[in-house]
Amino acid sequence: MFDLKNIKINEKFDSYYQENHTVSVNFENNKLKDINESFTSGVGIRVIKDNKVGFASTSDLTSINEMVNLAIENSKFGEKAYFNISNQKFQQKNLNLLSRDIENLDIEYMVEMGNDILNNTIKKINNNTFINIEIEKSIYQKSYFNSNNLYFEDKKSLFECGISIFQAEENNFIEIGDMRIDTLLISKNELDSMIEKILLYYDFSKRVVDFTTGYYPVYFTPKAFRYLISFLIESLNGKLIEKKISFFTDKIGEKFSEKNISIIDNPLMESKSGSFSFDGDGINPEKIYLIKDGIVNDYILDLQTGGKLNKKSNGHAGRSYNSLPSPIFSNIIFEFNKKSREDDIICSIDKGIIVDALLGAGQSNILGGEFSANIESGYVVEKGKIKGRLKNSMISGNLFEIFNKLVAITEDSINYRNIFSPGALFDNLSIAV
Amino acid sequence: MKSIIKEILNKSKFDFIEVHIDKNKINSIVMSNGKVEDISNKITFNGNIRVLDKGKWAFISFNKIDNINSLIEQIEKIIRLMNNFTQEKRKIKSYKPIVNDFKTSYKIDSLNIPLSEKYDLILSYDRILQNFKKVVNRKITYLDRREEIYYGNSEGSLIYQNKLFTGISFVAAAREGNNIQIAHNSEGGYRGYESIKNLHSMVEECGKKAELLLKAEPVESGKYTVILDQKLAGVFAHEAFGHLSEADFIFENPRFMDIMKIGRKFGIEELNIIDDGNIEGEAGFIFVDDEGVLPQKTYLIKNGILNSRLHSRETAERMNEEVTGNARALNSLYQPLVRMSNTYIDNGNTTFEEMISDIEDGIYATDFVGGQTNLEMFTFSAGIGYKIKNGKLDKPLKNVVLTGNVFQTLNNIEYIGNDLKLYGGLGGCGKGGQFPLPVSTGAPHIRIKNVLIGGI
Repeated sequence: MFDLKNIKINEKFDSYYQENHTVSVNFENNKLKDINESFTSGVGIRVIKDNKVGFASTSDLTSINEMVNLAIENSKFGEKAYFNISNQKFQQKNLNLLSRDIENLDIEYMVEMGNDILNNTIKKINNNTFINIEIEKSIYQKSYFNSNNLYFEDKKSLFECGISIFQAEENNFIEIGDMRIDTLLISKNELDSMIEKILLYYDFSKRVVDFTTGYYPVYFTPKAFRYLISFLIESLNGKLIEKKISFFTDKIGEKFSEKNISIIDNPLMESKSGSFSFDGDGINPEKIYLIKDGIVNDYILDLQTGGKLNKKSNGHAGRSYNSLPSPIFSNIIFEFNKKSREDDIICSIDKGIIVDALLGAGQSNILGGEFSANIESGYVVEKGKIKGRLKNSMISGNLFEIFNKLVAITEDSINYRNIFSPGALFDNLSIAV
Repeated sequence: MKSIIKEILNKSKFDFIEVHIDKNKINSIVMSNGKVEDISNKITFNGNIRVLDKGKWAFISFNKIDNINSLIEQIEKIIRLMNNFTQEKRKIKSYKPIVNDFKTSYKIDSLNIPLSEKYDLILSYDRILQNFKKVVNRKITYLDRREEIYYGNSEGSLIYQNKLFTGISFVAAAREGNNIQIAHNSEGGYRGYESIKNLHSMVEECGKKAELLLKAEPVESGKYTVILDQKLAGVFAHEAFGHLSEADFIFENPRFMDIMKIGRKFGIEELNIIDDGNIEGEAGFIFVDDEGVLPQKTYLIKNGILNSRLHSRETAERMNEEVTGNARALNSLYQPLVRMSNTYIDNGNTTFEEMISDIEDGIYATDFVGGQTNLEMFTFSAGIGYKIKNGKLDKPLKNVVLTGNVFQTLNNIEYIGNDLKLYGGLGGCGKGGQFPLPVSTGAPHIRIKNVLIGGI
């Protein structure tokens, strides 16, 4: 690992080093396609000179001096520093983010795992349906060092498995996929239950059913609901609050929803993919409630954004070696007091739809709360039973209003890249066909 | 770098090997509300070795070349593993060796412009946006990038490309109470600093649009006859049809091949959709693709009929078609995938006035926020829309998101305009985790019937 303490500089600074090793095994169209391996590393430095910030980075470790000089040069035109380089000494929590099982996992195991998934799934699909599988393990190392001699380092493992099946039929392409990610090796049981769900929706997708435009109850599966959560919390990024382009600007303490909803951001969960034991500013991360019992409670901050808002950082600076720190969400937990089993939620729908995947969901004016997306994988439910696939349809709504229509969430959540998303039933959403 | 590539190639005993090394210098400045928010320089060094041996692929990427032997040993290990686990033998189309140095042309080298001059230009653009009183947040992002890309393969190709990319984007967020509306504009391509120096009217337009959107009404959902402007129609060509033409989605799927059979009718005779990486200066301009193949002007749809598709060497070999020079990677840390370059609908004969004159109740959808496809269905969002009433443009509309079935929608194109424009910018295309790959898209105005628009 590169030693940040060797960087020679006489200014106030902080530096960040990252080293990643990733191996991925890819099956495409029912066959092992390739095995890829990637070794990458890089260093970034943030300099404060004359109270202005300059930044430069390099992935060529022979050009460290050039990087330092560029950062100093850039500081002449840089943003005013609203913070001091951290001198907060704290005991890093041991979050057990490195799994020796993943670190020692050999490529043969990954290929065999993919082969097992392929062989078990292929029996249950038509012969014109194709399976893609991606199995990936990564080891991430990072270190932080600053001009106050503060030094932190950490190592994290990630294991990821994504599966999708694709069938092209005239007027009905079916593509259904899902993924799991964890700092630990994902169990066979968990993968089996994911595949079972994919195959269930695959079967329902073969039959397209008619539907009419109107307002209906809609159940978002965990995979689809994570988009709504991520769009919503985006407006609780301190950077947007500071720029006054967030719906939640000046709304701390105000009611967001009639419903008893809480959204928690917790970087300190043990062995979770979104956890970190120090942030990109070298600050101790804090668990915060973004929304608490329906009330807007807090937003994520790094040092610079906090400084501009005259607030203390809550240790949410995200940083990669080639970027300045910026507020980032960690593990997101969505809580609501009405919980049911997924089967019971679907049974409770008299006439409505299930949304499992959206197309183009993030591409409308999300900051303004307006979302409108094609229902890529949607299913019609009548009298509690799934009837078939809903096609060529759109769902629309206002993100800041629809949470008043939340009826229930599922008891279990699934981790989608740090968002622990439950399934969620809403009442009375607009569907256009 | 060429000597390192030659050394790796000389040590190889593989059936086919290609080596990429790229060195980039990137300068970016982000100005928010008249103040620099981020100013940075990035130096990147990336490389990869990609091998096809005994019909098996192996790929390894890195940003240190301190031990060539160990990289080759790792590749050999991957090939051994592949041989143990699969009998599949993959092949690629061979291609003539290219030994050449290429350099993009420009008048002013952006890397030679002092930071103070870049700062002054960005500030002058910011001052234009500042005049719009309801614009609460202004963001301008400037970027220049010098790419030096080295490529060599075991067929004898040894290529050096020196490319200069320059771009800038403008975002204006207007607000009235809880009504927040955002307008964007962007310019970018393989050009010099001269390409971003005189964009004052583009910035003005961005500010106006943000304020206009505050007054816009939400669109009522339903099916409409829609006219797309050049920018949005270009995204439509890219999203709705371009991705469907990427042969890696098709080449191993016989049913999909039937659906995408060459000769199938896709639209009116005036409809021509083209991908062409040769258009110098555009964001999708390439000298060679990332498999050492020269770009082609490829008619995906010619006179309404499916004519060709986009290929890598592997997909071309498998489908027994010609290579098109469309194997592209985001940088040398990634494997090349079949990607578009500059994709556009060619000019037809109808004027905008002719197109709009007989629409009683329709929508003029302009500018774009984004788009996505799953091959069969597409969706894309207009920056701003206008109601068309009795052949005339009426009140502005917001949240205009269009969606549809690719095949039906192409068939529903009624008229193609005669005012083709191409657009690049700082954004790009995403596929297989590689984003943003620089591409340009474009079209003349087009008119489509029966387009589903989602509304609130």
